[in-house]
Amino acid sequence: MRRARSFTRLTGIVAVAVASLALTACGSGSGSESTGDSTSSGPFTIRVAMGSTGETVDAVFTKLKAAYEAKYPGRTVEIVIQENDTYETIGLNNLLTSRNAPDVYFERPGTRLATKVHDGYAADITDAVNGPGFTGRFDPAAYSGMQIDGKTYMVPWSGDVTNVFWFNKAIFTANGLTPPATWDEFLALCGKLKAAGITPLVDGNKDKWPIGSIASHLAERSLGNDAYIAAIKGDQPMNSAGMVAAFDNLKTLADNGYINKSVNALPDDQATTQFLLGKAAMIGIGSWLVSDQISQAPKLQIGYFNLPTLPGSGDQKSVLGVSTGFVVNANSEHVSAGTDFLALMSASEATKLFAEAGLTPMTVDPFAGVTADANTVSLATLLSSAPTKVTPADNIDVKRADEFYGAAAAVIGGLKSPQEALDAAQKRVEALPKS
Amino acid sequence: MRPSSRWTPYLLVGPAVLFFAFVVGLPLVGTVWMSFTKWSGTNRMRFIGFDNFTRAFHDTVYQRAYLNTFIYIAATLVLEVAVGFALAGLVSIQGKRTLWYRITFFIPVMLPMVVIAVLWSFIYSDDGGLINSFLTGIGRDDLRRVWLGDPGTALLAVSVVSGWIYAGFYMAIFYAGLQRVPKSLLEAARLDGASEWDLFFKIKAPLVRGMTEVAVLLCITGAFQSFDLFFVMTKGGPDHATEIITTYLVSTVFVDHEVGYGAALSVIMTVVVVGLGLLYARFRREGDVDVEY
Repeated sequence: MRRARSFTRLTGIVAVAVASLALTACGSGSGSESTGDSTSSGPFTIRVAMGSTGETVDAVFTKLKAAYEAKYPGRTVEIVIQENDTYETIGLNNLLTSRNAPDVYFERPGTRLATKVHDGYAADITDAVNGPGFTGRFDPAAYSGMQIDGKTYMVPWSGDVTNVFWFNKAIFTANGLTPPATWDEFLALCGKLKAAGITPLVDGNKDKWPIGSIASHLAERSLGNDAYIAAIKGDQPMNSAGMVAAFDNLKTLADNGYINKSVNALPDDQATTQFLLGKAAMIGIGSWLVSDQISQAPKLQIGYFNLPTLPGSGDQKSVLGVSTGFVVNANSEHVSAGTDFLALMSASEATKLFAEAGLTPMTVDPFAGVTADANTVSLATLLSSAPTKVTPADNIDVKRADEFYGAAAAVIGGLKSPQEALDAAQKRVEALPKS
Repeated sequence: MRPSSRWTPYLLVGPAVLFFAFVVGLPLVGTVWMSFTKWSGTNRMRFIGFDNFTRAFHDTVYQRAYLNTFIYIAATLVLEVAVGFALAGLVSIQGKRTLWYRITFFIPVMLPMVVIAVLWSFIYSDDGGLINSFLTGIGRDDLRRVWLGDPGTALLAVSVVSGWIYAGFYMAIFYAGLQRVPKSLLEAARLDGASEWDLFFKIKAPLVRGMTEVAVLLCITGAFQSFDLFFVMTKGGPDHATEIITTYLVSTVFVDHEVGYGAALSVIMTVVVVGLGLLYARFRREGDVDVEY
């Protein structure tokens, strides 16, 4: 009897201990009070999650929070900002599966959005974006990649040209150079710079996407957009003759010493610094270089040119770019409150704030009433007027893009021939399980 | 003294067992379970049997990661353990003021790994890096390399940094062992005409064999845990030349969002590490010689 009572006591202690541990582990939420429905009368909080795109942009969200709370009494906004890499790798997934999942979150269109829709984390907001809060704010083309099976799941936010060739105007002028129109002209220009003892092109491909982006663009120019996308999705082989021809252009840069030898060892930010210090005449990178130039080398005069035309069946005027947007969580109890926040984000006042913070908003009037950098405005026009917008491979299929980018890195590093690199990549993607 | 109740011992160890179960047992069971599923971290888990394991055995990058890890182990056994042993020998020579040397050699162990990785990335830099600048300075431009961008040098370059950090750690272990060698023994040897070289290799080294074995085990298991140095310096590149098991695991789970496959890779790694540990223990038992001093 006594033994039985002791056992009961022990069981109770164990149960309490387990419960305590479980509560300790699970009770790490922020304590936000996301209770009630947006249609209910009680106060509630919506959580808005994103990766940081810089302090100035983050500060805009603080202003939007205040504006939203003033406009909708009883509603509060909790802004959740994580370090960008963390957010895009593990952060967002952890947030979405947590007890305090965000009601609204930043995401990229295309594969990533499709995955969220498939997994039940993206609300169908078709009716809302056709409603008064969004009317006339976006060109229908801005929703590219944000609609699946005719339903809209994302509100556009900002756009970036992912790759152009930036050049140092002083170096170009001193050497009598002008932006090239064709790839052959580009190579001739690189040759002149090299002969003058100047590194023609610098890039930092440690993370593989900078040269991977150029490879994406070269592939589209060589194969055409549909065939390029099919190759990345696995519907066509990655080692086709057209793809090898595209990669031959990378090999030409490597073989002739037109790009820095350290390309695969250098992070992209260090390559940017080298360019801004005038150690190379050009860099292949996206539109975000402008903000680095403004903050690090405000006196440096820079210009850009799009990827020169190449022999190939693709659109030779195409532009490589990505857009971003915000999604309302399908599991949110406050879907309409979430779309209200996105409507506020899309209004002209918010557009102005984002443009002043250095972004290129995707609204119809991205720079209205704003004195924006000339290169930023020009790039926004380039992207919006592009006859073909090319999506970088990692926005199409992350795993296959990793192999594609790896092949591009091997070629630009002079480690493999285009055929060898693409054969190896094809072999690897063939071994991937079917999704 | 007998416990007042037969449950008392269980009650005493209970919290520790529960804590262990919570932080080790449950994740272990969860990982093994996940290794049999296809799961991105957010979608519905799907049981796929041994598919992840079959895939892993055909995954050439994963195999390359093992090869690189074993090369890294071999390199660090020399650069960390052997160099640490040699440093311990040097700093334990009597009559020398070795305190500052000991502190100097140990300082890298105390520095944050990420700081070290960034620092050495600059040292290895192609443009203005210390090594290439030195080679240019002595007129040996032909030896200049992109140390972290060349598959032929990248793994060795990272291993050297690892050696720079941990040689001081192993020096401290060996130094402690060498201090326990009886002075009378050394005095007797000296009277017999033994040189410092003889003292080190014929007396001190055999007497710290146990510590050498511990150091080797720490070095091997530590190599399987390595991640930050590789991630910051090379991210596994170029062309997977410095891809080790942990960098590939992290990439699989957090970049490709293949949590199920990543779990299978980590289960295989666990089996390999445990297997190596058991093998090591068996060899150690077979050659075990107790030396009392």
